[in-house]
Amino acid sequence: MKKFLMCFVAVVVGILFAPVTADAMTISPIKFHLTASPGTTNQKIILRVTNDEAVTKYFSLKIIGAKQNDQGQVVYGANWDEAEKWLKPEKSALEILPGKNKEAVFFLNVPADALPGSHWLGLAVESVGSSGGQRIGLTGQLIAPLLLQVSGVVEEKLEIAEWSPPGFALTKVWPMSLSLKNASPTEVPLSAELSVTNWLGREVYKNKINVGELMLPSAERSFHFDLPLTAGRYWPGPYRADIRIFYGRTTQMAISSGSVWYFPFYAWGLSALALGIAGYIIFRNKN
Amino acid sequence: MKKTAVLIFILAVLLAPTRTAALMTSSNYTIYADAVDSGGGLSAGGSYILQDTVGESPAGFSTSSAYEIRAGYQHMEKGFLTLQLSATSLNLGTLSASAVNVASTTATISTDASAGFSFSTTAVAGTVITAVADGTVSAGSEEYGFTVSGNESQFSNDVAVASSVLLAASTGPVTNSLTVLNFKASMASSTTAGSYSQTVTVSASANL
Repeated sequence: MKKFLMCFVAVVVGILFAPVTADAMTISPIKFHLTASPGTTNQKIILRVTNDEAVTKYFSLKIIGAKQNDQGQVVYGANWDEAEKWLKPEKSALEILPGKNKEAVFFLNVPADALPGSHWLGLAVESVGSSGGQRIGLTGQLIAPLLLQVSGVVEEKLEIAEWSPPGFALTKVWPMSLSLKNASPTEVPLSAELSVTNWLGREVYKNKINVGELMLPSAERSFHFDLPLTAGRYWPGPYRADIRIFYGRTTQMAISSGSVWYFPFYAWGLSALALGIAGYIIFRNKN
Repeated sequence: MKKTAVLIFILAVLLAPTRTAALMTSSNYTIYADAVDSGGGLSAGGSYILQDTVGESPAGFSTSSAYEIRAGYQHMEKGFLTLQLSATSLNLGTLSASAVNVASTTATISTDASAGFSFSTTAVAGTVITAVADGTVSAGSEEYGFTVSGNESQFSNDVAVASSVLLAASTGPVTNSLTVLNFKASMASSTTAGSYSQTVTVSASANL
């Protein structure tokens, strides 16, 4: 009897103090990739949604667009891509009992005049939560990225919008600026390499630089970094800094060059001394 | 008889059915007629076929920048992504010029996504006081913002509550990753009295 009473009390305490979450849900699968031809109709995509809360919840279903910001982060928002209109949920909301799951069905219809290329979208499941009032209302949302590619021939094109080594450098740390733009209708994998060549045409520096691994269609990215030329000897004089961007499934390369006049402080001193000596000799010869 | 056999053979060669696949080629690209099984469900796996239209140049780079996407490919990354919020309604209470009010919620995220997850704000609506701009919500100044803490949190100073703010991210699978969102507000003596509210949508997604 005592044992039963203790168990009963433990269960009651457990229920009273069990963690209660206000929003809890799970989606599966977590990513989709499909290719479809123009004119595709009613292609079905299924996402499973689980209500992890202890009460019945409503979940709204939406299609949103995805793009990359300047730092390469993927962000999501509505009305960013025409393909958001090509996908429609079978139902705009799901009512799911506690602990249960349901299938969220989406249908894809690609217009017959759709151009070949990639569309990055998100299948969004949003918990219908509380609004603000005199409060901050938080709504939780899970997004499954979806890459939709319309079939056909696509051309990859990455542009180096800006490549700015310093025109003049007093130290061996050279600030560099690089801007890239993916002008392709499809995403491009990419990598980059930087090399520096002296006035004799000899390569004095070469190294990979991190520009991210993938640029989505129409993405732009900017980098500002310092190139530390610490190893090796660098004589004062003109140098050329080349940036090579390797991109695309078709293994393309974009290259841009910039010149740098490296004139460190000691070179200024030596130059002033040399000028001084030359001036003295000339002055002495005149007299 | 022999002549007849030869004639039949020649006719057979001339009239033999040629391949009539819907295939168009040129020196630059190839388009295939495709058949998509519309209305089908999703299947796991599948192969993604890419076709370089021209062979590589001796330097290792392609002489053509075009390739073909072929229809009919479907692939999904099986796995799960879970989001829990400990509170969805936060009350910052009545502000005073002598203190900073704070209200918090905890996001718990679990996923087996091989590339990890990103957790960010995706939509913000409502009327609030002046957004923080100097990195710290300070008593006596009219400022509103939030900060995050946790193993995967992305910043530690106070920032304006806006959309597309990356709150937390991982590079691999996680179990019960905790991110605490701390909303903060303070007022100046000149702050206009009134009720302010905001709706914030926070989203978690598997990384690409």
